[in-house]
Amino acid sequence: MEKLHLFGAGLLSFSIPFTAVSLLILENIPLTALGIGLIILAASILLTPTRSVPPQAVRAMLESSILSLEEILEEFEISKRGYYVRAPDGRVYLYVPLREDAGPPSCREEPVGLVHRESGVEYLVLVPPAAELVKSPEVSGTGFEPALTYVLIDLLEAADSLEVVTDGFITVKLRNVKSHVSAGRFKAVFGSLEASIAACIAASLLGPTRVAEELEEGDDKTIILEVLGG
Amino acid sequence: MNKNLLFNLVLGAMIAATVPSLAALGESRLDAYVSMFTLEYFVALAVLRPRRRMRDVLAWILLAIFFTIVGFRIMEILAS
Repeated sequence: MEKLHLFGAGLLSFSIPFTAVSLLILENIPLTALGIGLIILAASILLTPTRSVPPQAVRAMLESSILSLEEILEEFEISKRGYYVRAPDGRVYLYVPLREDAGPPSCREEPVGLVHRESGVEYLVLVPPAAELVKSPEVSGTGFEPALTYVLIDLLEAADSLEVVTDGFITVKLRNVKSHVSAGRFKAVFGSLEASIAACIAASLLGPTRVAEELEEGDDKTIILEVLGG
Repeated sequence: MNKNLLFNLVLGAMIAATVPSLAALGESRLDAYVSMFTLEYFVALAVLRPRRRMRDVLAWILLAIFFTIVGFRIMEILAS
């Protein structure tokens, strides 16, 4: 239960006996009225949503954005894994090599258009679903694990819990993953929704990132990210 | 500030102000207090329009109590 609702429940459990005692034992009308006022306030707090947009709605919006990206990938017949790179404007873009894989682009400026050319290599530039999320102060102002916990657990409720292990690669272990969107090309290029979000955050905080591998065991998922250095 | 949170703060402040004000005026009718709380709830609701997790049952309960109080008052006047 959220802290606000816990406070509301506590206030309600205090105000009901307080009202009864004020009315029946003390026979004091202003105190009884105060008790009723507290009951109204407690009920109002319990009716108040703690978040403006429910996590399921945020998750559904991100999942639906996957479907349009899937259409673009289908059109270009792309299935190579892309590189998540942070642009100077703070937004993270996905650079997918169109022909040979020559590593991530250096990206000294914001990409213009759908295709980015650098040293003879062409990349398809796409905006990942979490590109704007990583610009929020809750993400940009913290470390990788707190930022990932905030987005995946608190904001999206995409999994029950997560654990991050860093050993050259970044390994993210998610328990009881709730999002199951079937979009084959998106998964091949971006990684799953959770992997894409994790890679976006890693790219924003640590440097160009690639989803190296994903392992699924029932509802649990292990994501391995490769940070390629700035 | 989040308007949902602001609504609860405004409502709490209005209730906290109403009780000592009416008590200082010597008001001893409980229905007068409850009517004021109902009025304040609906004023705050109309001005701030907070979001609710479910149907606003509290508003319906307060409205029902308010109409009951008004009904009793009308009956009292008609009976006297």
